[in-house]
Amino acid sequence: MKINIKHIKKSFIISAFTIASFTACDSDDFLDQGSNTILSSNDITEDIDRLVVGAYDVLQWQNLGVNESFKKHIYPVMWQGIRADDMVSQYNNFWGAGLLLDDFALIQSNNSNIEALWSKWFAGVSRANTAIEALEVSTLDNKDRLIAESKFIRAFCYFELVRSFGGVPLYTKNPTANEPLEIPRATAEAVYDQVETDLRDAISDLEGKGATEIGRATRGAAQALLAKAHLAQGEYTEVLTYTNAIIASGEYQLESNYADIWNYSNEFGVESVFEIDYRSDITTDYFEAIGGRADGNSAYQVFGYIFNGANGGFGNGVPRPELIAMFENADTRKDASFIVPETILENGVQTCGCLIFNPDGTIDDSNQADWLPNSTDTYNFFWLFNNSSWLSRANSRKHTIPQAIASSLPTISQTDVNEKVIRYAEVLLMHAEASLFGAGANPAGQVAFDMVRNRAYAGTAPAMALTLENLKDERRRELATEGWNRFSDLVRWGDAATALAFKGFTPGRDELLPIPQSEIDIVGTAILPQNPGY
Amino acid sequence: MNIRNLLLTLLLILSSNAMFSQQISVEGTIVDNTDTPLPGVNVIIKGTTKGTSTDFDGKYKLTNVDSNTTLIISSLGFKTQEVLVNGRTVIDLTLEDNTAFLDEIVVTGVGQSQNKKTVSTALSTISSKKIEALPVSRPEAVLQGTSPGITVVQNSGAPGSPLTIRLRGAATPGSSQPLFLVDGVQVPDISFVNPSDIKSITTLKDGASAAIYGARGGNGVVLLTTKKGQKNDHLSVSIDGYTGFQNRLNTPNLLNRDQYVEYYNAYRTSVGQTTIAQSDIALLPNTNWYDVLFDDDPMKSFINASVSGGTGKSSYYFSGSIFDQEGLVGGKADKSGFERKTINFNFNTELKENLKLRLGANLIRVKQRRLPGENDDSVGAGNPFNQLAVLLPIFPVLDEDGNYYDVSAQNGPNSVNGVTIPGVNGPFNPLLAVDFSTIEDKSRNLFLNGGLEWKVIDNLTLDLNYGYYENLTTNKSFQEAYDFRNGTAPNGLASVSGTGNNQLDESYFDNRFNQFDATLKYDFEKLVGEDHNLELLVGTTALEEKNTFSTRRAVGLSKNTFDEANFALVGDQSKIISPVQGSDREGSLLSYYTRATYDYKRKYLFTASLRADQSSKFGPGNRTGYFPAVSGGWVMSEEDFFNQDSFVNLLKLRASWGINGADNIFDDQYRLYFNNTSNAIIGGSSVTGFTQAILPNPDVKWEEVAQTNFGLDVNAFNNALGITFDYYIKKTSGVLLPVGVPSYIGIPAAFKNIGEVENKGFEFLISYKKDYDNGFNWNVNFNIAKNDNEVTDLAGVNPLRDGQTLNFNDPISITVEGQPIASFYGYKVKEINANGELVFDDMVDGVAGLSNADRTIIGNAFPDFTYGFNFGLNYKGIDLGGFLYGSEGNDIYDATTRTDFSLSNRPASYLTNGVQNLLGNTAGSNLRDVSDFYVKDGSFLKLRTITLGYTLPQNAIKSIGLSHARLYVTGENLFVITDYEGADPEIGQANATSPLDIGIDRGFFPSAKGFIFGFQFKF
Repeated sequence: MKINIKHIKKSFIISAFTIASFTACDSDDFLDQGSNTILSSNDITEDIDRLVVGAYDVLQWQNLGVNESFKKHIYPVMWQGIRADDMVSQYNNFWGAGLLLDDFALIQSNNSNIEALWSKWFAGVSRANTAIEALEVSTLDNKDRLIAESKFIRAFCYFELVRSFGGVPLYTKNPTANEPLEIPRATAEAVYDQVETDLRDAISDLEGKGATEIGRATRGAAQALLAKAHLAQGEYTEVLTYTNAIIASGEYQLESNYADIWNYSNEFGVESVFEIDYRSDITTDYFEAIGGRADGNSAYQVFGYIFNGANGGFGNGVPRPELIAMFENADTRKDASFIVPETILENGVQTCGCLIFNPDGTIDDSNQADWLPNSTDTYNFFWLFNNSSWLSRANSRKHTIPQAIASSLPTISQTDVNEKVIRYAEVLLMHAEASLFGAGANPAGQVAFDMVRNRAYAGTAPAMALTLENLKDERRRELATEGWNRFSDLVRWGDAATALAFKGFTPGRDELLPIPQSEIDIVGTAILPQNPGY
Repeated sequence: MNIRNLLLTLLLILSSNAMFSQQISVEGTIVDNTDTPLPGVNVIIKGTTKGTSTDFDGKYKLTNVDSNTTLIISSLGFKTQEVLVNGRTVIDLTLEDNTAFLDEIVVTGVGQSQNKKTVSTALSTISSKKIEALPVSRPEAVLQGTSPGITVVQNSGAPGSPLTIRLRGAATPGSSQPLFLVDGVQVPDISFVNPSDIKSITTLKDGASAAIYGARGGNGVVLLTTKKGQKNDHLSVSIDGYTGFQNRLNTPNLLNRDQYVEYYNAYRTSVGQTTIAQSDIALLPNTNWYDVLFDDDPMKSFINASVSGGTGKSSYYFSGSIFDQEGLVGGKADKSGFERKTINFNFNTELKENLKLRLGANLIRVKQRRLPGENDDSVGAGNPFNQLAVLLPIFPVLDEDGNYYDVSAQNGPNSVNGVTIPGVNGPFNPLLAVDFSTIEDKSRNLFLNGGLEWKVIDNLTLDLNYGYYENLTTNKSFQEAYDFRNGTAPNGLASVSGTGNNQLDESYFDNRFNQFDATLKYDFEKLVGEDHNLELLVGTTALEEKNTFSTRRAVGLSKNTFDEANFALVGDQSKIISPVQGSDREGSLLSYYTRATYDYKRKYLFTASLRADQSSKFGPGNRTGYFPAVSGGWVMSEEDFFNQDSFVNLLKLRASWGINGADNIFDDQYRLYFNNTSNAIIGGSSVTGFTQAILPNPDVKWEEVAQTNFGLDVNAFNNALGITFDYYIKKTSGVLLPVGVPSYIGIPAAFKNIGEVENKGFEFLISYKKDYDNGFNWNVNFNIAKNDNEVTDLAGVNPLRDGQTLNFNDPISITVEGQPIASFYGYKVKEINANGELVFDDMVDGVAGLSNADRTIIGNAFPDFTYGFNFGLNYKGIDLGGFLYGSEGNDIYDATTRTDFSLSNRPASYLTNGVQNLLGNTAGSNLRDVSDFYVKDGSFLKLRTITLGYTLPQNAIKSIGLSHARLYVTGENLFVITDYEGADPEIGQANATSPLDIGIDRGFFPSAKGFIFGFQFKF
């Protein structure tokens, strides 16, 4: 037996060669792999305006709960309608998200919907920040307008945050990987200052209505939002500055027929100041669409007319009888806003397709007789509330789509219906309200007030003097169940404690939502002190 | 003396020995009684210390042997034989089994194997014999209970459904799936392998044995070796197969008609409502929905044929198989089933005396049909299983028109035979769920493996291997148009109305792995003397994987059947509504490793290994992870002081320590990147937006699993008794979780290394076998394993919650410091008070008054211990064998009772359990809080298989050309002993990707019991 040292050497050399061959082809190259469906910073320089699109996307988010059922619904009407006195969350076995907002005792800092609301608006802030930072160093021709749009979105998000939570972490540049993530709560005043700064900046670079694609922020939208931000702070002179400007621009007018505002084919109409555009045909996820790619509005499925034949909604948010009672029958807004037993929908008199929830929990279907208003318990129809009382037999018509359209949808969780965030009528009402406190209203506050009322009555409304009380009622009627104002209005008027006492409103606590406990758990109470009372 | 001089001296000694004799050379192959070659067999010339041992192919060659001498051929676990050379130059031998389990050749990874006696790490092997006895659809299933420390839980009893496999507990809240290798090549799972092709499955359990796989060995390693042909073997043809039928295991004890009416009437009376008259009860049906939904005797069949043999230089193995299983539900309607066709080809040849080539090719086709939501928390028509506990026994299956009875209340009061009965709002007739959707996965797997083994010089081997794995899967899913509310249905099935929309989904998955290995091994045996056995190995592996996925969906197709539905037939392109979703990724791993294996006189054992892994998952600064391991063993029974006449044949102590890693995270976590997954409507059209995908974590690095193992092996009574005991502590640190970024940053968190998990436990295995002179023999084998899992650190981040259900207000599982991963979290029931209300313990937090803080850990799904028991006996061709598997202390959260559905059915225990009758309305009651009222003991013992076989006598079959013929019958899961009242106490993950959603019974596809009849023929 022989051992040849040379052989050993030779084979080691060969093997070493084999091994080295990997190294030779540059292991960094070999290892520089990952997802091919992502974009690097270089990839996006060509299309930097897409970062603004990413920021707009956030405005559409209605549900952030993946596989979590109803737990992360964040429909506007939950916060402004159900949490206030306009709507009631239906039958509580069915939809916990609404139930938890319908009773102030149940609003807790671990509420996953509140977490989702917080996350949504901050996602908007952060995406706007990313876009602004990238645009500022870019050479795009229209970069000033795109920066202005991004600032509008950032202001929109911070306005919603400050209304809901008070002072929140305020930042206009996103932290990079190695920067600290602890951003203390700014004062509410500082947040409002940022909102105002962003909107003032935006106004000078945004285009007028019709000058850019629909769906983008316009000068009028920024002015209206700025007016609203000032209104929230009681700064009436500034409110008038911007409402005057919008009215004087001549870009907006009221729809002559109130119901046409919700006409499916009349979106971005003459009255529209800012609305969130939705499209039905992008995805068909069965349940409420979630974040990201979902481009349809699922509010019809969640709040629309319950089980209205095929493709009916769930009727989760039900208008309170007290709200409906505020409308005179001659007020066209009543029929346009509510479905009550007397209502004749587009597809005719309702003969069937709705439910009676019996006190024992069984559910019966209905028939024509049940719809007739001769029953003594007029509002005892739809939902059993707290096992004992029947609360309302109405439905929200502003969230309902005509049967013919609903039937043709690929899925009812993805509809075309836009969210009307700010309408010209609201601009006029802000104008009227501010004129009660400040000089310089042009036209006079009463004129603006009458314009809204006359349209509501399809011609000439019974005369009504512009007083603060009348203005409050009119504003409630005009904007009923739309989901952007009622709770915040009650708070800024100081009326919440009395108006919401019946559902346990605690002054000093319930004006604001709790900071999500999960956030406090991450950065500590020194950075995120909880709101009082929670 | 330097090494060179030493070598020369040794050379001189060896060659001088050789020169003084007139002798011949002898060679041959040593095999066991299954014709498997035995490596490492000692072939010694009697009366001398001279000899050799067989190589991996069982071959030996001795030169300069006296033609009249005697060879002593010995190997642990086999009867030692003495053979007179008698002038022969070729002596092949079959060694007779004398094993306790400890003496076998085990695969130790990276292409190596070793006699188990000299192994100082913790690994276990399952042989083809055991695998053949288990008629499973996926080979992973044979790991269950066959060796301790491996838990295998079926996620669903649906044919071909994935399994949750954990080696020594869940090491991380992320995926704890072990690494799978088939003939040395990494694959995502082993479901494509024909069980009849498996020679052995070895599981590397401790850190030291798995460390050679470094980064990917953190959750343990499963090495599967396939059968090969033998050189110089005559052509051998085997045909084996079985066919049989299955049925469901258990039927939960729900209220039947009379009981339900009693319960219903009691409730209605309590709320002052009308009841169902006693006289009407007989008019109502008494439907057992389990009987309705489950098919009778769906079939399961398997046929396999293989040809193997070899010439002087080459060997081949060729096989083909078909496995076909119908699901228990929907199997007869072809809605649930699993069909796998495999072709396997292995070819080994000697190109030159020192150069061997091996080639392997597998082509596999799998067709799987699945029911919607087989085991998830979806509701509605989608999932038939979680409705079974809800449906009333007084519902008929069909209505008067012969359509599926509409169980929901949405269409008004229900009436059966003139009796008004309640409806349940929400669920659907489960038969409808089976009928109206069809889900099919069609896969093609290609597995190619080729290698060169070059014996450069004696003792030095270079092994190069290339492996390619490809899985192309098309998933097609179709839901027929159906108008649920109107309920009219042509053909007795679904109604196609203008308002309903059918839906077609097609997804394409393309997974490819390319792996290249080079291993250089030097056996120092001859250099350092007879008593020292030293083997050194260095190697490198480069692995690339590529996964692409795309999916699209169309609605409103004019064709309304699964077979006809087709994207080409979608006339209106706007109906293709999600055309661009998908993913495409590549990953790579580059590794270098070295291992030294040393023993002194087979008495003192030592191994050390080091692996350096570089993964594309991490940034340039953190790419490399180093994974060291050492192990040592002391074979006390080889010591001189040990009494050679002792009844103890082997006594070995082992200790090992090693570090593995895990990189189970998404790609690109270390760098800034953007997604294009957002959309907004600009100018009336959907426009794609860009968003920053994560807040990158440049520091992200390997998850580390450090494991210490102590073991003891004993063989006694002529190796009839074998005992193995292992104790281990396994600590995972730097657990990767996507947490730590507050959501006010507005950008999702990247994975971060935080947290620690500890698993510790023991494994015990005892076996005994006895042979009698009359040919009767029997054997038993019992194993038990205990594992304690604890999250020891979560770095202060929020507890991880999972296990959402629709019925309960909170998620059910929590992963929190100081508790096992994914424990159940909720209230403790102190008592059920006189009103039948659950009274929760309000002093858990030490503060009077019930609050959220009174929620606590109320159970967990991990068993305290698992055990397996095997027995076998043979007499005159008759064999009887069985295998029991048990699990003790695994809790189940029973979420099958749907109190959120008014008037839904209840378990029969509700008649007597003292809980308030809230049949119609549980709103406001705490029955919908997560509490230990729903935590059940899931301990069970299953008779997994029992087999009776008969091998026909040789003289009877020889005349018809058969060399072996056996017929058998096997009963599967014939009984299960458990207190759990649900359909099946074996409950795994909610789905393959949710490791924190375990042990929650929402109603799922249970496993089957049944009989199969099989045969094995060899020609």
